[in-house]
Amino acid sequence: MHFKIEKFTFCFITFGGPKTDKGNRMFRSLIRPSTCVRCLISRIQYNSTSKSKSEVDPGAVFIRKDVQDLLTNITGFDLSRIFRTRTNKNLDRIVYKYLTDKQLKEEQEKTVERGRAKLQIPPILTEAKENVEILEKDEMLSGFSPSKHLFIDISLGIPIRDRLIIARDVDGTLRTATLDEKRRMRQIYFPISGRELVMPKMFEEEQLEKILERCDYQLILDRACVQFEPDEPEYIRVTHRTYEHIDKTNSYDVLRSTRHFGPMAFYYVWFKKVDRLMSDMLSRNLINDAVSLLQLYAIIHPDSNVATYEFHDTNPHRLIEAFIDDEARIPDLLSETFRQYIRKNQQAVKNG
Amino acid sequence: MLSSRFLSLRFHSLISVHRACLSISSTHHAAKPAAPETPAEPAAPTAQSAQLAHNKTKTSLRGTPYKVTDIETSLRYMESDAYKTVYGKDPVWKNYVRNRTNQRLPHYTRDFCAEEGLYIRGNPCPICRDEYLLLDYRNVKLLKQFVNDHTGEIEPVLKTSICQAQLRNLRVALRKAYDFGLMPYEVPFRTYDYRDYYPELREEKDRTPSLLMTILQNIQDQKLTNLDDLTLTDEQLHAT
Repeated sequence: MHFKIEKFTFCFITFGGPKTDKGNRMFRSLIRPSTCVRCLISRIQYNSTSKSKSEVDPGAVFIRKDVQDLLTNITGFDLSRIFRTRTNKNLDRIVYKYLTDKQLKEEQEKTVERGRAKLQIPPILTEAKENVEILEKDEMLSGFSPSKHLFIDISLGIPIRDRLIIARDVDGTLRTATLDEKRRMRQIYFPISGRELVMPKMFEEEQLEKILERCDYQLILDRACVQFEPDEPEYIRVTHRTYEHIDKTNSYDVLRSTRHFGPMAFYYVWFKKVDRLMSDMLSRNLINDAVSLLQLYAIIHPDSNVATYEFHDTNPHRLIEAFIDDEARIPDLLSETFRQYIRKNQQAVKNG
Repeated sequence: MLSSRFLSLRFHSLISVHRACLSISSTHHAAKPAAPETPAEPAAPTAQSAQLAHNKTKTSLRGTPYKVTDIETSLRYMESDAYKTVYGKDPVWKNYVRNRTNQRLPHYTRDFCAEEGLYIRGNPCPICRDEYLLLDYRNVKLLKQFVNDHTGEIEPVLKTSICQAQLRNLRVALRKAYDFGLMPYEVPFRTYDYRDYYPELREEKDRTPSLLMTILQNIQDQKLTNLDDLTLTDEQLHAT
């Protein structure tokens, strides 16, 4: 494997620091009279995502409050699943406490809060596009160094994704960094624990298939969250492939009460593959979740028939029947499971 | 061949290859009466003669060849009946006993058990003594035996008694197994700040310029050539 040897230097200017000539020269190479600093600032502040022209941005839909509420409702909240036994490097002794009723309630509320924090949904974004801007060209500087230099701003208190990362090529052009260079610089100077500089082999296609056969979805998705940013093409490829596999094997329950159920449901609704998920919910008597799915469908596809339903007044059974008639891709499967659900319901009502 | 000798012995109650061979050979000798070909010796074998005879039959692994097999054979071995008879359900290091020179065992083990394909120790470590055990990233069943269930860390060498060379192989194999996703481990939880990803969630006061940009801006505005002349007002400093 060939690594391009690039010099990583950082531009940290202390005022009241060493007054070397070299420092001044390096400093002047970064910023010239022609470069507009204000333009630089405005460019980096809002550089996170870029929208594709003809499509809707899933991020804009995702961040809406009603969508977030619906997704958290569908995810469920099983404390035994959220706080399953995990390996722990710092093993402590078991602590026993005597608590009053009030204190017990407080502890339980704290646990619920901690559980909610563990169910934070990873952001959903469009794929990031390369936008390398050339800040200035300078042929006089060409050949000043055998390798290109990358600069990053390490001042305090700025989010990592907003930092200015700039490259000076061997032929003298000063430009903003490519996506790959940005990712590497961010990991070097602001590392996230658990993230590798080189993509782990488990995300390559053949290895991914092997792990999917084992149905080890949580490992893949957790590691993808740590390793990639949500707008990287690799992250999108890995997560979409996992969701497809889960759809084929009908193993949605593996991800219930985890943080990954929300993005998975969003993916199915966005690409209109809701049927199997809905039939799975019906077979587990989760009629409210099925209705939430339909509401999500209405929000994401406002020009479909589902958007015309009224979700407040009508009976949930009616809604699902209407959906089976209108937009279901596999209507037979859905109607079959729906019939079984109704039968189970009627029997439960008869028994009392 | 070492492996055939291995397979014929039951290890559940015995301590090591070396001593197992010894114990079996000594019982053989105790059962046999004094051979009629040597009438000069006394009728009943004395302790000393028994010891001398036993010394002659001592077998040591030292100098015998050690050739590790390839990965496919090793994977087959882990599932085979031979493995089950030798080790059962215990980990590979469970029935191994180190030799002590003092009363205490040192906290480190020997450097290596075999050099240039031959054993240099009479009591090799649990992995080197079995030529079918290969520490490889694909051999997850073997790797899991050296990882603690509760902590997820590698078991200390005081417990497993593998030599340092095999410990290095184990670390490399574990790292590769994590990389390929074959070995499960606890991935650290990543908390997202939504404001980084969705600029519409940010408020006005969050958009502070970095210290570097204020410096660069001031230098451009005041058209300085030397860093010493740079002065920043208090508001500019506090804004970052």
